Amino acid sequence: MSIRSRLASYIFLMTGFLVILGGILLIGGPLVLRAYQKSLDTMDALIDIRELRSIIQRQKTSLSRYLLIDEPQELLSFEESSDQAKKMLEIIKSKEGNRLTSWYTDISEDFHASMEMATRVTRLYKGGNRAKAYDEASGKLLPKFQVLLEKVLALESAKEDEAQQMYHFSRRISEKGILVVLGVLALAFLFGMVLFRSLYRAVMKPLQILRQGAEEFGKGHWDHRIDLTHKNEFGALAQSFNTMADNVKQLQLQAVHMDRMSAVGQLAGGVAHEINNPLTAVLGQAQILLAKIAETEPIHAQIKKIEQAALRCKKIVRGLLDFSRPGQASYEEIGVNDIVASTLDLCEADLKRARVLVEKHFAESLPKVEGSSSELQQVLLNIINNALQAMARGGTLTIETKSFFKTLSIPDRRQGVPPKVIEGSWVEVSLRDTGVGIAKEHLTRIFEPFFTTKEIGKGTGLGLSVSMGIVRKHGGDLTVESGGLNRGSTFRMTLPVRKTSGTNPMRASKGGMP
Amino acid sequence: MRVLLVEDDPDVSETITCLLENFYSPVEIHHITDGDGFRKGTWRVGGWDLVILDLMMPGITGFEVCEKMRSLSATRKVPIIALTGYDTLQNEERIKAAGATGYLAKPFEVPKLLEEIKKVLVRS
Repeated sequence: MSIRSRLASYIFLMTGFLVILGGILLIGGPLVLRAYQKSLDTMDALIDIRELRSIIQRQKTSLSRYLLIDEPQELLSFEESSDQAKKMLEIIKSKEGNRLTSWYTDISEDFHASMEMATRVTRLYKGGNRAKAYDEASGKLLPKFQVLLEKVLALESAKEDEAQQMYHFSRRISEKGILVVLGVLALAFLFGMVLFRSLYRAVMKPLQILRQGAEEFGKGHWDHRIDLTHKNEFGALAQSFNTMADNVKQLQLQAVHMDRMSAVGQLAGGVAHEINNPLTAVLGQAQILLAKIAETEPIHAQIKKIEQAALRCKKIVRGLLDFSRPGQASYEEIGVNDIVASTLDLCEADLKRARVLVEKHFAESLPKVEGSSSELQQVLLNIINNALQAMARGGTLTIETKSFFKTLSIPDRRQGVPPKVIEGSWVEVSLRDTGVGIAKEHLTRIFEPFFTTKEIGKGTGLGLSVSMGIVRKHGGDLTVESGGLNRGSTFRMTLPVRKTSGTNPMRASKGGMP
Repeated sequence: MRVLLVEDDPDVSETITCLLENFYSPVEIHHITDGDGFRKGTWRVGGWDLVILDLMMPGITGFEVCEKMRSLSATRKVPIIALTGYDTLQNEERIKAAGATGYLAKPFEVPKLLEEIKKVLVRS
C-alpha cells in the first residue's frame, strides 16, 4: 500500500470519527437540553401549585374564622386570598398554555363552585341567617374546600413525581451521552494509534534502511545496494538510488581505467624517449655506413635492412610518443592507401613468418582524410597484429579500401550520451582475416579497455581500446564483425573525408554505396 | 672545422662524431656532457664553426646553454643545431626563441642532419 493511500485512509478514518462525534453531540445535546427544560418547567408548575394550595388553605382558614368570630378583617383576608387564588389560576393557565389538562379544568371548576358557595354562605351570614350559614359552611362549603385542597395536593405530588421523572430522564440521557462520546473518543484514539503505528512502521523502517544504504555508499562501498522491495514510494526511491549507484560505480570504473590508461601512456612516453638515443646511434651509424659503402657491395643491402628496421623503430617510437602526449600528434592531409601500404611494409616480415597471404583491394583514387599518420598506422598495426595472432597456422588477410557517401551513426562510449549522426563522405579500410574468429559474447566487449582473450603476458587488453580512441578522435568509427569461432573476423575503420578534398567520393569509390 | 658538441648520451655523441669525421674531415670536436662541464667555461674561447646541442642533460638544459652562448660576443653568431628526443612544437619554438639556428628530432636521419648542417653553415 502506498504511503499516499495510507495517509489518505488515515485522514478519512479520523474525519469519520469526528463526523460521528459531531452527530452524537448534535442529536443528543438538544435532547438532553429539552429534558432539562421540561423538568424545570415541571418544577415551576409545582411551585405554582404549592402556592395555590397555600392560598386555598388561607381562604379556608380565613372563612372559618370569619364565620366563627365574625371578624370583618378575616372576611377581607378571605376575599384577598380568593383574588390571589384566581390570579394564581390565571398564571397557571397562562403557563400551561395549550397544554391545559383535565386536572386544571377539574380544579378550576371546583374552585369556582367553592367560590360561589362561599359567596352564598357569606351572604347568608351577613343577612343574619347565621345558623343556615353555619350549616351550609360545615356541611358543604368546608368539605368542598377540603376536597379541593386534597385534589391540589394530589396534583402537587403528581407534578412532583413528574418533575422527578424528568430530572432522572435527562440525567440518564446525559450520562449515556457522555458514555457514548467517551466510547467514540476511545475508539478513535485506538484506531488512531493503530493507524499511526502502521504509518510509522511503513515510513520509519524503510527510511532507516534508505539512510543506512546511503551512508554505506557514501563511505565508498560502491557495491552496496538498498534491498527494499516495497511497492510504494520508498521502493521506487530505493530503485532510483540503486540505479544511481550503478551509474556511479560505472563512472568509478571508468575513472580507474582512465587512470591506468594515463599511467600506461606516461610509461610508454618515458620508454620511447629512452629508446630514442640508442636508436639515433643505430640509425646514424647505419646511414653513415650506407654513405661509405658502394651499393654494389653485398653488405650494403644488409646495412640497408638495419636502416629500415631502425626507421621502423623510429616510427613506432614516434607513435608511442604521440600516444603518450594526446593532442600533440600532428594532423595532416593523408592518403589512406599510403598508410595501409606503409603499415604492411612494417610488418612484412611478421606476415611472411606467420605464412599469411595478403590480398589488397585498394580503391584507385581515394579522397584524402585529415589525421595523424602515426596514430592511424598504430591502429592498423594493432588490427594486423591481432589478425596474425588469430591466424597462428597461416591464412589470408584481405585488406580493402573504399569510399562512400552515407549517413553514419557513431556511438559515444560515455553512457547516456546519444550517438553522433553524421552525413557525409567516408573512407573505409576493412581488414578480413581467416583466423579463429571472435565469440559472440566477446564481440561487444572487444573494445573495452583491459579486455583480452589472450594468455597472460601476451596482450594488454589495451590495443583495440586505444585504437578505438584514436579512430573516434579522428571523427570516425571502428567496428568488428565475426561469423563466430573459426570463421574469421573483419575490422572496419571508417574515417571522415576532409571537406576540402577535391575528389568526388562517389566516383572515386570502387564499390559505390555499400 | 671546430665543432662544440653538447650532448650527454655517449651513443649519440659517438654517432655525431663519426658523422662529422666522415663528412667534415679534418674536424676538431670539443665535447661537453653536462652542466658542470658547461660551467667550466672552456667553450667561452669562441672560434666555433658549429654547435650541436642536446636539450636535456644532467645539470643544465639546452635552452640555458643556448641563451648563455647568445649572450657572449664570442659565441653570439655561431650556428647552433638543437637535437631532442622530446620533439614537440613548443620545444622547437622555445629553443629557436633562445637562439638556435636549426632544429632536429631524435632519432635523426644522417642525410637530414647533413642537410641541416649545410644550411646553417651557408647562412653563417
